[in-house]
This record gives sequence, C-alpha cells and structure tokens, in this order.
Amino acid sequence: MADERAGMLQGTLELLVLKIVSLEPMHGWGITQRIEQMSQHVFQVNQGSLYPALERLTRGAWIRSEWRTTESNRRARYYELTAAGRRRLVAEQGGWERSSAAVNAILAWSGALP
Amino acid sequence: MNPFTDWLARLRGALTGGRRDREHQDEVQFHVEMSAARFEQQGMPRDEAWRRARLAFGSAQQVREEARDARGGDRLATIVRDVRYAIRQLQHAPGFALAAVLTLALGIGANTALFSVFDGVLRRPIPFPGADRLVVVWETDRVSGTTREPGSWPDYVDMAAESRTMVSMAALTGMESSFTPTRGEPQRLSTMAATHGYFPLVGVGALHGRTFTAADDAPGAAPVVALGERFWRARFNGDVSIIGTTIRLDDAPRQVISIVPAGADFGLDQIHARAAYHGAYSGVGDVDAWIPLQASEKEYPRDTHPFFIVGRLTDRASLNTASDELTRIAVRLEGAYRSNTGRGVFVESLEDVVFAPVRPVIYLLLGAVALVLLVACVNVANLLLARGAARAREVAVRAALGASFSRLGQQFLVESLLLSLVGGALGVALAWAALRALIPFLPSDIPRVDGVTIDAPVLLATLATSVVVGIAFGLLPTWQALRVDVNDTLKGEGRGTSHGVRRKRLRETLVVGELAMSVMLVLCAGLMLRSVWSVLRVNPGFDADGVLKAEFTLPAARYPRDVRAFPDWPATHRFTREVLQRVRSIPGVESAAIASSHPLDAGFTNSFTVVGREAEARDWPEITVRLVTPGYLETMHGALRRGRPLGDGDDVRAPLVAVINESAAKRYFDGRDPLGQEIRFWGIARRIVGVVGDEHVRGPAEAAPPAVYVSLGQAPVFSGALLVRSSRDLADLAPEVQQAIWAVDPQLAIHGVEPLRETLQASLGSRRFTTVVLGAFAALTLLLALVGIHGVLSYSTSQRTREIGIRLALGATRGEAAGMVVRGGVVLAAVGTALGLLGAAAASRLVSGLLFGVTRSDPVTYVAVAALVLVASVVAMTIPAMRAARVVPTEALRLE
Repeated sequence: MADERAGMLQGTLELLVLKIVSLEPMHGWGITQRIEQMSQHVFQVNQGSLYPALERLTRGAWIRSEWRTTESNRRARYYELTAAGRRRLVAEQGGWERSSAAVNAILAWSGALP
Repeated sequence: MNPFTDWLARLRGALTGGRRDREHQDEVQFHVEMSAARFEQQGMPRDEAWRRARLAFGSAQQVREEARDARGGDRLATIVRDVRYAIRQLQHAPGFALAAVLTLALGIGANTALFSVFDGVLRRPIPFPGADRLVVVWETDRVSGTTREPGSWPDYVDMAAESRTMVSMAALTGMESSFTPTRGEPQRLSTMAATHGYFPLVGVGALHGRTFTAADDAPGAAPVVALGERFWRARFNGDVSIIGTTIRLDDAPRQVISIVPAGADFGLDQIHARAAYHGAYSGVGDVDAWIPLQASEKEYPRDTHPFFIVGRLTDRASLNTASDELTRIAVRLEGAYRSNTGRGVFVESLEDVVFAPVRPVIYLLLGAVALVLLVACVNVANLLLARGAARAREVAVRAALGASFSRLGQQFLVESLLLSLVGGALGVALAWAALRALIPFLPSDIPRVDGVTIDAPVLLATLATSVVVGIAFGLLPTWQALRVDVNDTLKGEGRGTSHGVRRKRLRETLVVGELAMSVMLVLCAGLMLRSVWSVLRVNPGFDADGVLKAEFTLPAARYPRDVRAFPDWPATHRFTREVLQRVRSIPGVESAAIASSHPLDAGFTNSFTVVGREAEARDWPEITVRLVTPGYLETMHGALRRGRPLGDGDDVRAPLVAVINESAAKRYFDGRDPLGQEIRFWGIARRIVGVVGDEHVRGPAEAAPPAVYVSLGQAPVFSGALLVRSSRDLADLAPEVQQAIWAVDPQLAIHGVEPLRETLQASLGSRRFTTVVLGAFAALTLLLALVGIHGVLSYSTSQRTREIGIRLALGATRGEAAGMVVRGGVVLAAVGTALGLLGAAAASRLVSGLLFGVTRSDPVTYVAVAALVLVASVVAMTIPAMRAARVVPTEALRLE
C-alpha cells in the first residue's frame, strides 16, 4: 500500500482528497500534484491508492464527478465535494486536529510522569 | 454510509460495471499522459517518459481491480464475470467438465435419494398431537419368553380402569374384510376394529361425520363403519353424501358414519408387524375401514389374546412409572386368574415401536452414502488437481499481471461451485429415477413409505450439500494456487520442480484414500450379500418356487362360525372342497392346498397340553397351530419324518388326529415316541399320527417354532391362503385361480395374490433393502476409485513420456515400460486396499446386526474383496500401461 510507504496514516488520504477537492473541482492527476506540492513533497501519492480512495468517496456520496475539459483541452474526470462531503470534511478535520494535538502533546511531554 | 445507499451503489455498480470500467480506463489514460508530459518537460526522451509514467502508475490491471473492489457493488459484477469466465474455461475442457459433473451428480444424487427416504420416513414428526406421550402396552409371557404379545380383553378392561398413569387406553386389532360393491368385483379392505376411545386418544377427529361413541362400541349395537380417507376418495370419489348410507362389509350391512383422515392409522401396521402374533391382517398400507370393536368378556375370555393395547401417558407419568404401575396390576391379575400365569406387561413408546427397527438401517445407509459423496468429491478434487498442473501457468501469469490471490481464489471457488451446482441439479434427476427403483425394495413394514418424495426440504438439503461440496473441493485448487511460485512456474514450466512432486504426492494420497473408503463399502456390501445368500440357502422346509398364493377371509354372514357346532361348519367345508376341486382341474396345476396361514406367515399360537402330562405342560411355551388341507405337504414339498401325513379320510366324522413338526417332537417329546400320544388344545384332544419336517414360518433366518398341523376338515378356519403348485407361468395362472375361487363364491375378496417366491424375497425385509442399496453404493464408489487410479496413472504416464522414451532408447523392453507404470499403481492399490480392510474391520460393526450365517470378520469375504479390488485396480491400470508401452522413443525425445 502506497500510503504506508509514504508514511501516510490509514484514512488520511481520504481526508486530504476531501480537502483538495473542497478548494476547487479537480481531476485525479491534479489531486496527486496538489498533495505533493502542498506537503512540500513529503507525501507521494501512489495512483494505486488514489483511485480506489476516489471510488470509496464517490460510493459514500461525499464527492461526485463529472467529465470536463481541461485548460489544455483534454477530457478529464473532475471530482467535487458534495454537501455530505463538506460536513464530513469538517467532522474529520476536527477529529484529526484533536488527535494530532494529542499525539503532539504526548511526544512533546517533558515533565513529570502524571 | 447507510445500508440503503450502500446497496444502491452496489446495484448501480453491478449494472453499470462495464461503463465504469471504460471510464476508469480513460481516467487512467489521462493520468498517464499528464505524467508523461511532465517527465518530457523535465527533459526526458518521449519513449522513456511514457515508460516511466506507466511504471509509476503501477499495474493498470491491479489499479482497476482495486478501484473496482472499492466501488463495492462490483462484487456481484465480478461474480457474474467469474461465472462467464468459468463457463469459458469449462468449455475449453469439456472432458473434465463432463467427468466432474457426472461424478458429482452420482454422489449428490445418491445422497438426495437417501435423504428423501430419511426425510419421508424418520424426520417428519408423528402426525398425532403430543405423540411422545403415546405408548403401546404389550403383554409378555415368561414361559415362552415373548415380550410383545397382544393382550386379552378383560386384562385391557382392568388396566384401563385401574391405571392412574394413563389418560386413556384403547384396544384394537386389524383384520381383512370383503367389501361388496353394488357393481364390480369384491374388494378386500384393510379393516381396523378399535374401541371408541382410540380416536380421542391419538387426537384425530373425523374429516366428515363423527367418530365412534360408547354406544357404537357396546356389544350388539347397530353396525357402523368409518371409512379411511384414501379409500373414500378412491372408491367414492370423495363424495360426502356416502355418510348415512349403508355399505356391505363381510356380507353384512354397515352404516357409514364418518370419514377418518389418512394418517389416523399411523403406527398400527408396525404394531402388528412387531407383535409375536396377530390375527389375519396383512398390515401393509392404509386402513380402509374402521369399525367399533364391540368386545365383551363372554366373546373374548381372559385366556385369548387378540387385542393390541395403546395408551396415552399423563403429563406427570413416564414410561417407567407407567410400566411399574401396569406391572403391579398385572401381578394382581396373575394372582387372581389362572389364565394369567406367567403374564406381565411391557410398555413401549409408540415412537420406538414404529422407528426402532428402521432407524439403524437408515442411519447405516446415510453413513454409507456420505462416504459415496466423499469419494465423489475426492475424485473431482483429483481431477481439479490434474487440471491445476495444466493451469499453473495461467495462475502464474494472472498473478504476475497483478491479480490478487483472493481474486484468484474467488475465481476458483466460482468454478467449483458452478460444477457442484450443475452436478447437484443433475443429481436430483438421478435421485428421482433412483427412488423409483428403490421404493419396491423398501421393507414392507417400514413406516410411511408413501411419504418418500423429493420435496422442498430435500431439495434444500441437496442445494446445501452442493454448495458445501463446491466450497470443499474449490478450496483445494485455491490452496494450490497460493503455493504456485510465479517465477518458477513461468521459467521452469512447473515440471520436474519440487512443486510437481508435491502435487503428485497429494493426488496419490487422495487416490489411496478414496480406494480405502470404497473398500470399506464393498466389504460391508459383501458381508450383506453373503448374508442374503445364506438366508436364501437355508432350507426353509418348504419349496416356494412354482407356488402361487392367494389369501382370503370368509365373511361370517355366509360362513357361520358357530362355536358350538365346531368343527362342523358345512359352508366352510364346502368352500374348501369346491375351490380345491376347481383349482386342481386347471390345466398345468400339479397340486393345491388351503392353509390357515401360508408358509411365510407365522400364524397364531395356542397353549396346549399332552394328555397325561398336564402338570408338566404348565411351563411349556405355546405351540404354533397350523390348519391345512391334506394336500399341503405335497404342494409345499414338505418332508414326512415319521408316521403318516394328514389324509383325506381325516374329516369331521373320523377320529381327530394331528401331525407335529420335528421341533415340537424334540421340544415336548424328547426321547419319547410322540406317535399315538394325544395333544389337547381348544378343549379337544387329538392323536398324533405323524411327524413332519420343520417349516421356517417366521422367515428363513429365524428358527422354526414347534408346530402342530391339523386337518382343515377337522378344524375349519375362516381365513386362509390357497397355495397352488404349477409348472406354468404363475402370472399367467393367477387370473384363472382367482376365477376358480369366484366360481365358488363370486363375492369373496381375494388379496395377496403373488408367487410365494416373492413373498419369500419380501420377508428378507431390511436385510434385502440394505444389501441392494449398500451394494449399489459400493459399486459406485469402487468405480469412482478405479477412475481415480486410472486418472493418476494416465497423468503420471503422460508426464513421464520423456523418461520412458529414454529408457526405451537405452534398451528397456516395452513390457518393462508398462511394468513401471503398473508397479506404481499396484503400490497405491495395495496401500488403499489394506487401509480399507482395516477401516472395514471397524465399520462392519454397523452391519453386524443384519448379518446371517457369516460373522463380520469373515475371512473369506475379506480375501475376496481384497482380490476383487486389486484385480479391478490392475484392469484400471491397463490403459495407461499400454500407453507407456506404446511410447515411441524418437518422438518422446523430440518432445520439448
């Protein structure tokens, strides 16, 4: 699995995809590029993980897709967030922030044992 | 995601799978193009950029499959695709598909057939409410040691009055009666005479009309009859207006008061069949007519035992408490009445009476048929393994292209399920045909044979079996596929590798296993066959071949049974005389006789004394009484040991005489001369004038009981069997014999018209049934096992063609080449046979109860079975051996 190799936590990819497509409708290739750029090349998304993740999100009706033409006049499938997806993004983001804060707190602990 | 949207997505996925796959391909194409364009921008040559882009994307196939799995719905779609793929695969290997489907059809079909017998006979509940409370109360006789005798009327009345463990009790007995319709031939009816308490006791009400009341049951009450549902439908087309009309039964009018539902007679045939004796009643099939018993002590005193007693336990009582209580009552009766000396009771649940004899037979056969299925599965697994070798490359290629093992596993499972389901469907058709062939062999006393059909529960069981079987042997190639080394297989073609050796070992193990299982069945069948043979080889004391039997009951209305005038019953004597006269004048008839019971009917027994030895006789068991016309010995080819046989002169006016059999002479006159002694029963003394050979009247496998023969002329009887010996075809003779009887009495119902040989065969009952079915199963499994051996050797021969070619080129003879193949096969056969014989030594315990004249460790059978299986195995090896011998070295070496 690509996310493991890239050090990405299970389930994180879906959160990131939701975030990217919440900014603007985007095709699969664009999503991989955005994740790489925004993570300053820390995360490399394997396409073998991306497309199944997109399928899962589509199945859950959190994103929907349509075929559009790119700036360079090619046909590509663009994914965009649904209302349900937006709610999920908010919920997941909150969850992520809480758990990453908790992880950070533990890792940064230097005081006495509680 | 809620279940509904999930389900919708799945459905959409399944329906639009093809379009989605195409779209996915376009999407991937776009991705790869973008990626390649990026690499080009970085200054890579175009070709290299494209190669890198594709590599970066990974296996398109794999991504597509993972995306498809994520899409979810496509489980259904992939299954549909797998089924299509499987059908294509099987079309490419029609021989394999046919062999597998046929093998499975045989295995599953045998199971379906036997399961339908189990379902129809054993599994269904007894059709009475609270049936577990129903019991049969037998009388026992300590003197003769019998445990299942009918009871006397006064004993029944006393027990029913005193018992607190029984809610109620009823008495009944079966009889044959003649129904004389207004038009057409008289018809014999199975008739049950029961006390009015019977129907409430079993909890069955009338379908139309009312059941018996106490008033109907009183001696001398107006004669009424209740018709059995099936008889009513068959004879009166289910016309309700028959109620209230009068029909003629045994030449006397009876008013029809009700229709009793089919099944109200459940268990009664089995009660009659298990009893030590009973009145004239064939006890097979439905009860056609029910009449009130109308018994009284005057007519049925305490020393006659004509009635079966059934009871319903109270909720608090158990079989034990009821048995204790009734035994106390029996002890009291024994003290009070001389006629009850040595008498006790035996309380048995109705369920045991009905099912206990048939249960072990059906369970034994269920075990055997499971073995058949196992062997069939092993055979198909073996076929799959052989195919697996050929498919190893396919598996490796697909795995290399990124197919996951779970996908491959699903593919194999779908393929084997397809085989097993098609096999199952064909098996149901086979079972249907097999049942048609099987039902005539079912023992006649087996309960509710007519309920044996392939119905929904049976089909469901078959479906479940097919699925389990499909999964079971589908796992094998899957497990094998998991062990395929992709690199090895692609490089080395999977030959001569360690994997090939493992596969061969596995196949050989399976063949040894199936051979061992088939040897177990063949041995058990062999023991049964020898038993049947032994039974048929017993000299039963009579010669059933060439004898036609016809039974009848003379109705009291035309043949008065005046006890005071006995034995002077002119009407009965006239009937006997005239029927014999007419039958003897039929061309081709050698001799004819009438007997109170035919030679395979145990008839009835009576207490008796020898004049002058009354004190001694008190401890004697009852003697079987057989009333015959003088031609009996001649007709049945019986043997005269001493004195003279019964003669024409022994009629009503002559001195009363009797003939006893050897067993009676030995048991009661050991060391003395019976001739000239007087034997007394029914209050009449008769002089013994001869001793005849024993007749095995309880069936060939049972010892002959002590018996006394009395001339019908001196002891007329109202029911009996006409026995006709002829060299003619008996089927041809039967109508003429029937016409001869009807010439004397056109209204007499005749039944049981069949060659005595058939009666003898039927008397083998469950022994014959078990032998036939077990024999069929054994033959089937042996055949499958031989096909298995043949398959393994053929395969290994084809794999070793090159080796054989080299050997031949180096100077080996063709015989040596064939020997090489056979040697390998003989080792397998010998190991399988040895293991099978060991298993059989344990399994034969299950048939030991059915054996006769052979022990379950009979060495002859073991040796014969081993020889049979080894010889058959060698025959199965000849084809691959011949193929090995025909290998042409130059061609073999040029291969590859």
